[in-house]
Amino acid sequence: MWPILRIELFKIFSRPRTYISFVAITVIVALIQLALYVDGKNYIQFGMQSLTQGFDIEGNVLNGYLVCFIILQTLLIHVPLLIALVAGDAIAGEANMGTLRILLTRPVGRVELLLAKFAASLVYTLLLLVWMALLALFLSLFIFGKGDLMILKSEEVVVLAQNDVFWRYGWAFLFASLSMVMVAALAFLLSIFADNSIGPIITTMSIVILFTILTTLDIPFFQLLRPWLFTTHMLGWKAFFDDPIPWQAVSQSAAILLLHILFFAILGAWVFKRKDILS
Amino acid sequence: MLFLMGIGPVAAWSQDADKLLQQVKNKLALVKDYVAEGSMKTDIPFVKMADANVVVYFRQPDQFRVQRANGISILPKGGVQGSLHTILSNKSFTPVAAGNTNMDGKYLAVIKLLPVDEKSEIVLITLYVDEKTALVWHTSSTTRNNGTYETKLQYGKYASMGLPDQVQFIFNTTEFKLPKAMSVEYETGKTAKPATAAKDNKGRITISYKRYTVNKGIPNDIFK
Repeated sequence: MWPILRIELFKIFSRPRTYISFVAITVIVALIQLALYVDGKNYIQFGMQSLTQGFDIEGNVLNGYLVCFIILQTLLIHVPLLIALVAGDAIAGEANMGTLRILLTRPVGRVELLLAKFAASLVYTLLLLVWMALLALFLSLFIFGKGDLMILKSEEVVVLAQNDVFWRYGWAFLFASLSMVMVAALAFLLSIFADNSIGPIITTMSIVILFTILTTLDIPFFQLLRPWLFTTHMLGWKAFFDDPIPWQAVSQSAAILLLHILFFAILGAWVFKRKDILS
Repeated sequence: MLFLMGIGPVAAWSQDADKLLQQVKNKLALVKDYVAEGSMKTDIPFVKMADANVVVYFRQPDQFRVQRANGISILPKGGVQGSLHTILSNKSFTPVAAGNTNMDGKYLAVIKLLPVDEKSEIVLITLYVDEKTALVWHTSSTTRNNGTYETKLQYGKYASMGLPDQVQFIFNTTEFKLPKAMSVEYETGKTAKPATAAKDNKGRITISYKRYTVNKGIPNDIFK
């Protein structure tokens, strides 16, 4: 399988559009960091209004850890689009170019080819997250320095000591990887059904956007739906910034995301094995 | 005659209160400035925060600052009367004796302090003072805009200078609310309040002092 994976990785990384995601993340992270560096104090004061009415906050609130948290909160909703660009193109792109049938004439099993393509999409997804972690965490720490991390939740304020934060980011990025792999698996599954990569990319994004809206809208009717939406569990990375960490809930969310990945992968393999490839 | 007999004891109490307040102030006047190392425990109903080491700076007449090294501290607005000096120094009050009371196993004199300035932010201060040592063990301050604050003090090896080993500030808190759409929260399915939540809706900040460095001077930039 390794030779096929190498070929698939070569295909992904030889396409200029693959690098659009890396450039986009670099630009967005740099812009957020620049904006916070120039006018971050006003932004923080605005965000903390409800707290500063009754309390004086002393210390370096706007530090690298908080900047990274703000970046992750902003970006992790949009990164699925960048992942869908590649994962949604994996099979549909070949079908669109008319190379899928030729590819399957080679002495490689369909499932093996599918796994190699899926693994290549995962490598791309994980590299994107590693790049994001490098920029969002390490560059922010370099620019803004270390400090305690203060997070405002809807009914409480959590302040984590600076020596208690870094390992939490390790877990948070690990969890975010699981979430993004799930998005990649969804886009990959949809890619099997399509003959054009635009379809699975847009469908993946539509599902993610719709579910995200249902997750974030604070309307009682939607609260019933929330536990059943994968976007609810994709927010699990935030749990690592609670004290104590709700391990049971996080493990449950991770298990649900894993089940989604397995389901999408198995369904994809099942469909692809039986699919009449005409293009 | 009856009138004079009536106001006689009141005048005597007032003199006692004046004298006792002066004794307290004299003790506090021994300290021009201090730097103290200690630990701070924050117990505010909606705040989850670990205990932290702090450095506390004070300089006469009323400059006071609690600093966490590279850390964040959340302190009640206008309410951290971290030092008795900041409560009493350089302010004009009319002391009124209000009898004696037993508090935490101590027999303490109660002095009410009424600010001379009508526009003062502080409306009333009540001091609970040990008459033998001129040490203040408890204060209660009612303010115009920031509610009522209490301070509980414990003394140890620095008692001769009127410096406490432990100070606890108690203040009223209101609920903290942020729209969920803003915080985009991960829901764990549990609605439990933070473990440290105080049941009486009061916040408590306790500073335990380990050591003081007294009258050695403090750079101006500390209080900027």
